[in-house]
Amino acid sequence: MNLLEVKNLHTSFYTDHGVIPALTGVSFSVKKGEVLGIVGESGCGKSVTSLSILQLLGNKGKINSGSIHFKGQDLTTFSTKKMRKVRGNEISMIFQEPLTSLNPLIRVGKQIEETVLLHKEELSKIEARNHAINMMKMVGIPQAEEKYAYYPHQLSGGMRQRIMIAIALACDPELLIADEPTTALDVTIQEQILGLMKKITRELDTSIILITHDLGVVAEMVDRVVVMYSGQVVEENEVEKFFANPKHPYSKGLIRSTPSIDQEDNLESIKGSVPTPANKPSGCPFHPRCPFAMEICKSQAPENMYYGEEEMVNCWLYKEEVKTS
Amino acid sequence: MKKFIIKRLLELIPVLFIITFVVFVLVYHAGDPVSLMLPEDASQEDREYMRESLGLNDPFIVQYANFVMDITRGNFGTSTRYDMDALPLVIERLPATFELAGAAMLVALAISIPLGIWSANRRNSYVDLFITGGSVLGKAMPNFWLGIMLILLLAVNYQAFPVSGRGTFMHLVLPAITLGTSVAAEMTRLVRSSMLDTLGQDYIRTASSKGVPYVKVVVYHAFRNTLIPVITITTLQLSILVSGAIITESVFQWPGLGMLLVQAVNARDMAVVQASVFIIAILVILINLITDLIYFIIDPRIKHS
Repeated sequence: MNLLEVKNLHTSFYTDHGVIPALTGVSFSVKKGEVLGIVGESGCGKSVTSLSILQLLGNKGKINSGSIHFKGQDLTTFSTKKMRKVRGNEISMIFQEPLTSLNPLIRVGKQIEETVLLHKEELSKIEARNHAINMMKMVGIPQAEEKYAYYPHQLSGGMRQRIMIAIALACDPELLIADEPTTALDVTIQEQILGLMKKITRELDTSIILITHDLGVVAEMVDRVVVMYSGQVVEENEVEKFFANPKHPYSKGLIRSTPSIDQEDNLESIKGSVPTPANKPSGCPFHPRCPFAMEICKSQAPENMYYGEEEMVNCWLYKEEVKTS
Repeated sequence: MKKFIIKRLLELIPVLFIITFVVFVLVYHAGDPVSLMLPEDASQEDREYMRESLGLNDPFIVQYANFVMDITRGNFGTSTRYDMDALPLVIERLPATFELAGAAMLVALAISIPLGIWSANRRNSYVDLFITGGSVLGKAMPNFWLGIMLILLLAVNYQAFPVSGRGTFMHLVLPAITLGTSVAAEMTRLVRSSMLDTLGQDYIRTASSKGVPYVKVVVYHAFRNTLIPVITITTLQLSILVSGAIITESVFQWPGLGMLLVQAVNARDMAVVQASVFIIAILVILINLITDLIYFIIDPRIKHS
C-alpha cells in the first residue's frame, strides 16, 4: 500500500481579485521509505501541493475536490483537531528559508521541544528537553547542550536548517515534506544538508517528498520524479528513466536548461514563463511555450497517459504510442 | 547593559542643554516681566530700577549663563503666582500626573490589545469592521467632549462618580477613561496591523506545521513578536500622557502637571513654565530609556548586535 496517495487534487485561492485555481487535478503517490521529487519552475504549484497535504493553506486557500489518503485515511475529511495530531507528528515539513522559518524570539532548543511536548504527551519536560538535545546531536550540531539556549540569529544558515530538520524529525514522522530545503543555502552547506537528510531518513525509514527546481538535487536524492506545470502533474517516472528518456517537452526543456560541466555552447532555456493560474491558456497549458505544439494542443487538454503503474505523461505527442503499446 | 545605560544617561546632558536654551529664548521673547510684576502706575524710574536689579539689562548671553547656573543649583526662580520656589511646585504635581497617565495607559492597553488581536484574527469580518470603525470614532472624538459627556451622564445624571478633583479611586475612573480612549483607539489599529504582519510570517506557518493549536500559535508564537512595534507607540503615547494631559486635566480639575502648566502660562508665571518644561523633558527622556531597556528584555536580537 502507498503511504500517501493524492488523487485529482484541486486547490483554489479566494482573493479579492477572484478565485485563483492553483492546483487543477494533481495526482501522485509516495511509497514507504521512498524519496519522491516534485520539480517544476516557480509558480507551478509545488508548494501549494505540499501545503495542501498538511492543510496549511491559510484562510484564503481551500481544497475544492480530490482526496489525500495517508495510511489509508483521507486527510481532507479530518477535523482541525485530528489534522493537528498529524502535523509535526506523522507528516512534518521543512521550509525554504531557515532564518524566517524559526521564531526569532524563542530559543532553538525550545522550538524543538515544543513539537516533542505536543505529540509525545507521555514525556516529562526534562525528558522532552533531553530528546530535543539528542535531536540536535543527531542532526550534527556541535555542543548541543549549549546551543539549546541559542536564538536563531546566533546560528548560521546551515545550522538553522539543521534545527528545522531536528524539529521536523523530532517525533519520528512517516513522511517528511521538504520544500526547497537547500535553495537558500551555500552549495557546500547544501551538500551537507542533503546528505544529512538522506542519512537520517534512511535510519528512521522516513519517506520524503522533496520539492525543488534543482535537477542536480533530484538526480542525487530522489527515487521517483513528478514534474509539475501550471498546477498539474505533466510527467511521472523513476529517476533513471526520467533522466535517460524524458517524455514531456517541458521535462526535456528542464533537463536541457541545466548546465553541465563539459558544456561548451550556450545554455538553452525554455522560452516564456509559467502562466499565472488566472490566465491559463486553453488546451494544454504548456502549448504556447512548446516547440512541438500541434493544433489539438491549443484547444484540448491532454489526458494522463500511463505506461504501466509508475510511468505517466500528460501530452498529446504520446497518444498513439500509448494506444499501440 | 550597564555601559548602555551610562551612555544613554550621558546623552541626557547635551539634550537638556539644548532644552534650557530653547526654553530661555522663548521666555526671553515672551514680553517684559517687569510690566507684569509692577502696578500699572509705576514710574519709569521704578521700572528701570527693577530691571537693573533683576539683571534684565544684561546682554542675552550673560542672562542665559546666569539662568543655566541657577538651574544647575536646582533653582528655577520663584513663582509669582504662588510666591514659592517653582521646582517643588512642579514636583508636587508629579504624583497626580503619573497616577492619571498610568491609569489611562492601563485602560488603553486593556482595550487595545484584546481588540487588536481579535480584529486581526477575524480580518475583514464584521467584528473586524466594527472594531476598526470604532477605533476611527474613538480617535476622532475630542477629549474634552468625551470628558464632558461622561461627567453629564455618569457623574451628574447617575451620580456614580465624582464630577471632578482627585482623591479616591472613583475620582480616577472618568478622567482615565477619557484620556485612555483616544490612546486605545490608536493602539488598537496598531496592534491589529502588527498582529496581521506577524501572522503572515514564515515562523507562524512553521508553528502550524508542527501541530501547534491555533490559540497557542497566536498567544505564544505571534504575541511577543507583535509587541515589538506596539511598545514603541506605547511609550510615545506615555510621553504625551505624562507631559500633561492638559485638556483632560482641565475638564476634570485634575491637579496634575498639565493643569499647572496651563495656569502658569495664563498667569505668565515664567519660572513655573520653565521648571515644568524642564521636568517634562527629563521625563520623556527617561521613558525612552526605559523603552530601550524593555527591548533588551523582549527581543534577544538586540542584545547581541
